[in-house]
Amino acid sequence: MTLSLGHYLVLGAALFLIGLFGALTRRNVIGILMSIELMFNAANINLAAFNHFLHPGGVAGMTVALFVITVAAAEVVVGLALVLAIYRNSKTVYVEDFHLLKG
Amino acid sequence: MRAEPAASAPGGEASPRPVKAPLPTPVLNRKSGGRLLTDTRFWPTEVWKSPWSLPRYRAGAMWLAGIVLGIAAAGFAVGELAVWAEKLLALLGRTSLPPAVAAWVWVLIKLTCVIGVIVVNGLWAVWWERKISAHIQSRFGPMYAGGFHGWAQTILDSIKLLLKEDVTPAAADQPMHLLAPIMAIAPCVMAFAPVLFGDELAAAKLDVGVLYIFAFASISVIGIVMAGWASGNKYSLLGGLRAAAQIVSYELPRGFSVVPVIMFAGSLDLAVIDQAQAGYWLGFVPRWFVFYPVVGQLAFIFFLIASVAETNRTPFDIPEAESELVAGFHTEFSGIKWAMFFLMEYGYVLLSSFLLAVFFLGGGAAPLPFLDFIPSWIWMVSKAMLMMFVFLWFRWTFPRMRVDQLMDFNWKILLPWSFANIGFAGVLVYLHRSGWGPG
Amino acid sequence: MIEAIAFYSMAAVTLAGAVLVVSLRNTVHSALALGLSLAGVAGLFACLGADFLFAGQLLIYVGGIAILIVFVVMLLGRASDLHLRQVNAQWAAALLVCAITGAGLWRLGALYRHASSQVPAAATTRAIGLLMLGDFAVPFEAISLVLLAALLGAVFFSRKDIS
Repeated sequence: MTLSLGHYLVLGAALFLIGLFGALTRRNVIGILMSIELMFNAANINLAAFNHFLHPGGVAGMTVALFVITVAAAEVVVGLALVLAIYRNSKTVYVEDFHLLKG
Repeated sequence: MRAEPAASAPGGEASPRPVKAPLPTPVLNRKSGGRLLTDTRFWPTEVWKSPWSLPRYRAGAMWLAGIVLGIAAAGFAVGELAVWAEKLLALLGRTSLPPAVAAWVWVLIKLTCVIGVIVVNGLWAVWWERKISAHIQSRFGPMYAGGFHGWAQTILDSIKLLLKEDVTPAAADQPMHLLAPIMAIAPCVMAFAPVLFGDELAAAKLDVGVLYIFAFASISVIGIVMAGWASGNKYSLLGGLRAAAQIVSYELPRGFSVVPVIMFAGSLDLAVIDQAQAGYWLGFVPRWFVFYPVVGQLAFIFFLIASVAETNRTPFDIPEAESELVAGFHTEFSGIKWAMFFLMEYGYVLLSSFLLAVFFLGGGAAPLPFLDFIPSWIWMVSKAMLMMFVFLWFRWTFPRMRVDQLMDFNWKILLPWSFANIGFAGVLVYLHRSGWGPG
Repeated sequence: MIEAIAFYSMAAVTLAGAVLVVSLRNTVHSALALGLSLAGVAGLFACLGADFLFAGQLLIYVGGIAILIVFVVMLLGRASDLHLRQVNAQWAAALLVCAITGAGLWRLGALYRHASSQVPAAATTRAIGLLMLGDFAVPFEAISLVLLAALLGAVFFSRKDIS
């Protein structure tokens, strides 16, 4: 069967929804970061798929996907540094224990 | 002076002594060839000869030698096969197989050749390393196994490793303990896909060959970290994390030192890089990238140093040095699992040797014009073996660097100079485009 | 036919890895499943003919980010974590949100579902390089500033307090 853009869009959407579920329900803050990474990858799949099917021969979608990869890398680095700093102060990585800002 | 066991028993009858089965005869106490193995009068020749008279060892050794020789024959025939690839494909197509299956059979043949090269290299490189280390240290190395200079030593060592007991610590993460050696060796084998074994002799023709190889070389770090974690002890975890930090850090100068080569060749394809180094200046100086002024030599040295660090070889072998963290991340792995880590290390040494040969030494091109009749794959393998000799030579010449010295060296010296090297390469490309410099 | 096999196997690997990421209790296993999922996404890029993106995804995501996450998880994990549940109490509401979002995405995607392409894949590295230094030069330079900021942020936040 020939693959069409619909297949890749469904896959991207499924990956995004799994990542969204993880970001909403994981208790471990690193688990939330990993789920956000899944959402970034779903967006990248969509970008590359649109590039391949709607603009064959062009590479603009892939270039934007590269930028997304880079930004995601930067975000994970800062996020993990923050997690390490929080762990050093509060000795826990579960988000429900981060209530210092609560009124 | 044993007391009567039945002296204090009530009743007249002696309690029945439990019947114990006799213990099996230990190996050394069995008779073999009519003499006891422990009879020391006959040891120098007997000990070496008699284990071979045990049919089990002999049969196993012949199987292994047969398999290795078969794979070696397939592997080193890759030069001849590729030349006749068209005829072979036509032959496969003329059988009753549909063309898709013929293509798949060809892929399987190439796969067998590549895996054969890696496995045979594992055996040969270990023997060579032991010989080189021995001669550097004024001794002989393996001399007995198999006769002439112990050529069968590694084959016998691998049989021994296969027969060893597989011990998994109780505190270890069991599925990860099994998966870690697999995750370490699989990317190594996959990275060999675009590697050039001669002119136009690669298992896969990839437009992004260089990047693909670096990508898969960086995946094996996951296997090392898994090994450190799955061992269940803190020293292995530390060793694994240190090894991972070292490998990830040295990937940067390794990649950046290849950028000048890519700039000169104009493509990431290894075959194009190889072809860009064909030909001679002034009729006799080969156009290898290592001969380009300043840039070639610097890039060659940086790539060599970074590759030595990537493969965790001395002088950068803090993670697996015996005197440091016992054996680092592969302490708790025994038998075939440890053999997988060992094979991974020598596989990456082979990969780095082939890459050095392709990127800098011309890879397949003869050094002098009149030596063209020697096939390109012989030149490629010779250059790769020369580079592997350098790798093995470094191990027994340099003292080990401390972890902080290692990291300092990478981030403060190697990486900035790699960037500067890219700048120099840009200058050289500009000079070439305006007609001045070499190219 | 080979394209379909490649696509479905890569998709299966990706989605299986993603489900393992959000459901496993052992965070180390979850991080390794993330590495598997990212490698599956790289395979999907290869199915789409984006060769530079495939190698770049493996190099950056699997060879960098996944390893970094595995590092941090190994440093911060405790043995007691294996007995606690890792999914919080609002999983039903999260499922509802995901279902609504899924319906919205389906409606959006219905416009483009049937586009298909028969153009054979070509090498993209040169084109991406030309684009990055041509039309996308400003984002390219801005990305380097973003990376510099991330580097400084990471160094600053993981510093030990001297006071």
